[in-house]
Amino acid sequence: MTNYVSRLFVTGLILSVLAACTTTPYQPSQPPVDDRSSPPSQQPAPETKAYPPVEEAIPGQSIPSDQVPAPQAQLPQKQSSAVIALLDRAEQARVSGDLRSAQNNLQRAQRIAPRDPKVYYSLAQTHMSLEDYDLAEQVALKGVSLSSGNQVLLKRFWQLITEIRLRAGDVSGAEVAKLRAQKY
Amino acid sequence: MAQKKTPAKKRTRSKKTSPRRKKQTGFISRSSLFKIAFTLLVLLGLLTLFLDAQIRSQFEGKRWALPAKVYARPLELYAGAPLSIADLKIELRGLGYQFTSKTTQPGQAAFSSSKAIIDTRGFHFSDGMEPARKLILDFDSQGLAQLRDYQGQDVPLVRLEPVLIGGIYPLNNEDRDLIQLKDAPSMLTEALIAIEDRDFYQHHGISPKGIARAMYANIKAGGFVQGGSTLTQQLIKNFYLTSDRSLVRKLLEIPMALLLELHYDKDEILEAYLNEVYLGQDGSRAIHGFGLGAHYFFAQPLQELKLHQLALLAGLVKGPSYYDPRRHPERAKTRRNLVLKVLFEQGKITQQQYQHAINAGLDVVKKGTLLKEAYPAFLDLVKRQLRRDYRDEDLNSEGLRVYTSLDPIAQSQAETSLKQTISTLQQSYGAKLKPLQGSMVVTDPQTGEVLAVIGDKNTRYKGFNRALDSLRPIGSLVKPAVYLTALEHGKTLASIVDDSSLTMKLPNGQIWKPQNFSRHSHEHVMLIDALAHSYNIATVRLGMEVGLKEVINTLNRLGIKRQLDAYPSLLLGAQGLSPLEVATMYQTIAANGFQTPVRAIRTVTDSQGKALSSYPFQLRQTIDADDVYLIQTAMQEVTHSGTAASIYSTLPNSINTAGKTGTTDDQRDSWFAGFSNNRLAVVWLGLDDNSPLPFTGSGGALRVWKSFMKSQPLESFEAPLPDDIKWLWIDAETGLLSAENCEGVRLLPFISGSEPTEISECMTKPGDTSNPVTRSLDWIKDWFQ
Repeated sequence: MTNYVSRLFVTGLILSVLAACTTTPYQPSQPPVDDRSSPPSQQPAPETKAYPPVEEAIPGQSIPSDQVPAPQAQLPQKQSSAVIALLDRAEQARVSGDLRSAQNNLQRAQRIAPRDPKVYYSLAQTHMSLEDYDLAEQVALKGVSLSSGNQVLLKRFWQLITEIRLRAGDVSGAEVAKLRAQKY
Repeated sequence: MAQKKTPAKKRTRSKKTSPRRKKQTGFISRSSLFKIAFTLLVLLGLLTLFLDAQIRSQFEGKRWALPAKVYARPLELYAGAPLSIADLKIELRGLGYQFTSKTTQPGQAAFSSSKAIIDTRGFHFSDGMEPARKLILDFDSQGLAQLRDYQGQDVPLVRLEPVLIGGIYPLNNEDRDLIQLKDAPSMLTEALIAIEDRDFYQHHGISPKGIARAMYANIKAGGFVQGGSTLTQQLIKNFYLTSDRSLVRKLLEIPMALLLELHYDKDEILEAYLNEVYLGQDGSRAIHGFGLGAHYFFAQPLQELKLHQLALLAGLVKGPSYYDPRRHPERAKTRRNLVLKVLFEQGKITQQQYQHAINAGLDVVKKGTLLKEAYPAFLDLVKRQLRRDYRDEDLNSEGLRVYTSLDPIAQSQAETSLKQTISTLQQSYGAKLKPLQGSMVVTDPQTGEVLAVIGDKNTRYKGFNRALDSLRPIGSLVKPAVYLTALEHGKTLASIVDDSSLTMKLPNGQIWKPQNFSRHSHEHVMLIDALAHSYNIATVRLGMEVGLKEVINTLNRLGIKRQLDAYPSLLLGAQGLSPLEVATMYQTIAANGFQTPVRAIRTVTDSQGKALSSYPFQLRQTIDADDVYLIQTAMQEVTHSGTAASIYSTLPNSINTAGKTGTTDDQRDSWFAGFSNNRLAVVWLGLDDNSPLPFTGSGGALRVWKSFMKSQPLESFEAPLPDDIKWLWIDAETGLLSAENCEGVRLLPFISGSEPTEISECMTKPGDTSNPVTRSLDWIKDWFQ
């Protein structure tokens, strides 16, 4: 009897010790999500269409667009201190290799000043460093479209596009861009 | 741990075995008794093991399915920001800021006529911490003129915390905001313990003293007024067990409470309680935990609540429905004051604090003061984009944070414009317009970000989302694509097109005779005017000339991914598209030929703020800069002299806009799509049963658009002038080259080499030999001098 009781007691004890100590190992729950932060080319891309071939600039006189239908002289945009601060932060991040941070700061700058070509210049540089050459070129082309009349900027953009295309292995495209840069 | 465990086990054993031992002297043999006892013990042990495992896995692992939190864009504050004081107030109200005369803590703002002082709360963004700070904002007529810190130093840029606009909930619809015990105001825990379980820090899970006290109170009162459950038991009940009042549940509750106390310390249990407790119901969404409760009842974070508010929350635990302060304010107040009385009697608060608190109002805000769940149509878009990349269970349980582009200020103004215009139209046209519906999409055309979405005139209605799912024929909104195709195929804005009546035999043998809206046809009109005045017959001729396939190709390049059928009626917009698709299409034109996918999500992070995915700015040039410049010019003609000319009775002339009206057959749909430099808005009005409207695109949708755009900090649309474009004077009748001093002339842009070579009659007058192009340019030069 005593034997039985003590055996039972011991069994109970063991069980309770087991209960107290058994730990269901906790598996930290990891959301099995894809990281879409790199490379951006994995994004659902817009309808794939070849960008229009870069045409040779046709020399010809042009006049400001803003006369018709509401003539108004276009004023150069003043860069706000906020945009300057963001471009600085982005540049520092880019130089130190933190390209994601550079990209974040530049997208913030873009929302504040979406027509500032310098924002697109830095963004294109960043995408080039991220080796996303396709997007880098498109961003640079957007910069070109916003730089009309500014010879210095246009030259820099076409030089950047030349470099992007070279890095992407598009030698003939780079040659076209180089010629374009030389025009300014 | 083993030592701790033993007493619990002993209790279990003695309870179960002793009655049976008595019986063994009768007819059950000793060995059978031991076998039965042994089996029972094993079973009990297993049950204990099972319960224990359950408790531990829940407690140490993922305790709650945490809904994903969806945030609006953070408001950027900087000198020069196009932000008015009224806009700032909209944003701060959405964030639950208290407007006071003097700010003393985060979450408060003080205003004068041109100045604001705000005490921000700070926020941990995925790309860094934005600290809490006190800021001085000076406004002028342009917007935010200066931004300084409280020491008077200029601050270049500050991000306010983003407004929480929604969640993605698990199937049980439980919503909660997790808090840590150290972040809970001490008065909340004091109040909770005082009113629910005053021996909490002394007992081992169950409280005989508490039960005795409750029984005494119940007997004294002659009914059930007080329960004897400890906070631990209440937690077990909420946490692991169903809400039915069965005996089995009650029996399981006690050992589970003991086990819980065995493994975890009081503070861990209390923290779990604070997050688990059920506090109310908002439609299908169950409000759990004090973190969310504070937002739900007071539109403020828990840390910012005052004593009387904390006491109300603690009092609610006993019966969230019975004491619901919105439905039963008197009951809630009595309960709150009881909590305060107990706190005072226990010496936790002073007489002065007590008096002050019991005299305070309930201060509960109206439902919907915060913007959580306020924008179901936008949230729907976000969820669809998220579901492409994430599994449902990750979205509703991992506490993901989703940062979106929604602009609560633009959304609020869009809602006002849509609702007011619909109401005005209903008043003008009477009962038949009672079911008039509307939807709207607003984007920033330069970044492609969606700023606002409305899917129903009842903007908080979580039903059919017209902005995404209502495919209604787009009517003349398709025309820019037709004209753009024509321009790409060698036409110019001055090309003369034939708008005389037309009869076509369709491939199925039917005869089609397109009509102009006015029922009048025109012989010869310039291409730019045919678009500006939305002439149908000219459009069909142009479209058939360039070919339907080419028009479809253009629509695809503008961003329409849907399969489009090559029927001639496509040219007049028989194709149904959603407002969101229309926004995509017009955005490509507004962004100078760069197709930018509409984006509602910026970044997704895990619950700790680590970025999981970002959705960067994407673009691809799909329309040549020269061609897009021409179509932009023609679309500006629409708003200046064409079907949308009424815009300038509302907007100032200094703001250039471009757009297109759309009206479908029998006026079943009223559309307008248009943009300035920084805002693109697409508006649809119509009836769900597809019956005709008593107004056109300009009589309905355009009115919403104008009212909305007027409320926005608009930047004029200025198309960058491509190198190859030149502007020339053209004879408006013939489309031939002319000069500024001739009658009936227009200044129009041409791609170099495409300009007319013939000169108009005016130019061939005897003695006039100068080159018209030179003369055009002379005019421009004069104009600038």
